[in-house]
Amino acid sequence: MIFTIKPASQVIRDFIGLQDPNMCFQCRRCSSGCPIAFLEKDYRPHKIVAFVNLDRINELLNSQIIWKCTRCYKCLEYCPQRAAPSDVILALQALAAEKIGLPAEYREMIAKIAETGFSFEIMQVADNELELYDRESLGLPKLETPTTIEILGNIVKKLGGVE
Amino acid sequence: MSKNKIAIYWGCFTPTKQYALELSTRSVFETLSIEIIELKNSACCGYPYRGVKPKLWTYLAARVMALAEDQGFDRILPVCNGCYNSLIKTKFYLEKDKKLLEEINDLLREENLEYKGGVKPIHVIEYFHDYFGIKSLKEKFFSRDRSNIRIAAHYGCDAIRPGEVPHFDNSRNPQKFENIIEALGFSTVRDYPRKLDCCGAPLMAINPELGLRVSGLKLKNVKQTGVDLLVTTCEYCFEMLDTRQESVSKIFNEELNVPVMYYQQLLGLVLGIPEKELGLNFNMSPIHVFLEKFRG
Repeated sequence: MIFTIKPASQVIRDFIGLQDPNMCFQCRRCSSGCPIAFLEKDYRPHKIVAFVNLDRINELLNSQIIWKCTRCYKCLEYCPQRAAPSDVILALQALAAEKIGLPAEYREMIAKIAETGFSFEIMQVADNELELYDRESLGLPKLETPTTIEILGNIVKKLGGVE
Repeated sequence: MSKNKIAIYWGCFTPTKQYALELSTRSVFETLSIEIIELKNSACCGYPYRGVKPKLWTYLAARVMALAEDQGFDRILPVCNGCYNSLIKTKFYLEKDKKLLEEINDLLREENLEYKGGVKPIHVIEYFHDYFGIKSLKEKFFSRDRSNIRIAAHYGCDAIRPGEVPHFDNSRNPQKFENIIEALGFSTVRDYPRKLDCCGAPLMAINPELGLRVSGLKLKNVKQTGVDLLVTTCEYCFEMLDTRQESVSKIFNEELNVPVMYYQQLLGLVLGIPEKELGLNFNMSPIHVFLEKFRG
């Protein structure tokens, strides 16, 4: 499968806004401000944008690099061109989910929404004396599943690509 | 909506795990005689899926606002930074993209809902600073000078960025959080290294080890400022900075010992609410050091 620049920037325009990765002139300010770049030698947002602009999207989709972004948007804040490395990376994640497959962690969470309305299971939580509490023992009202969960669940499954 | 009522959207993570935020928010509003109105039929805001499934995210966030509008609210207070960000961003994009709006509304109509854009999402910091008001905070609760206690504020990324989308404060030099802390008599560090950095929570679904290291980067820098307390309003940030602080310490092989609290817990203490009603027993960081100093 070959993806050109178009789908990536199209996804960006469709969902993320008005930024264009082509505006990037490789000044590297994004990488200088990125906390992940500080921690991980192989992660440089400006390089990801360069790969997109060079049409090397397949390599990115198949690498673990695009899953290292913490989505903090500092790179966009630093970018003088508003080329938005963060949005490029999010668009790459969307493409990877579509073309290669949604990571299992997200698949489970989406299935949970379709079932209960919420992304997470209601948990019992230990306090700092290791005593267990739940909503009831804390006097919190019962968490209600939406009355329209069937309709909602179907839409969620469709949009999330989870059957 | 009148001044003594507020519509709250709890999201997913607070009502399923971070009970301290729900407890402290409820008890603070009760003490302030502000009635909480629950958003009925609410579900997830879609935040975790903004990367992998953008349309799902947009639909779920729009649904929250459509519900609020349907139930007669013109403002909604999401307690979570992620939810806040989902709502304001979706509002921003749906105003710009009529085609997407149409598509989303077609889906919402199956539940007899419609996104009309008449609901303003308000951040917790914004609520206390601009709606409850910094002035009334100061007049009512500045009971004594506590400036010997120094506090660092953690905004969290989604409270302030991206700057393109209108937020409640400046994306590069936000100050409102510090203002509402100082209004209670404490002093704050207005700036510290990595103040605007991430807590690492968005990585927890798929890259947890890296997420914990991001949290550690933040905590180490806070520790070096020597503050008595780190305060946040977001339960994802709290999970990373407080609940998982011990795991973070282990990764770095370094004692961090940074006391962390929700703003609602801090405000609750100033209001004289008992610790258990603020869920302070759920804080895993060493807050006792702070509490001793607070009680003086």
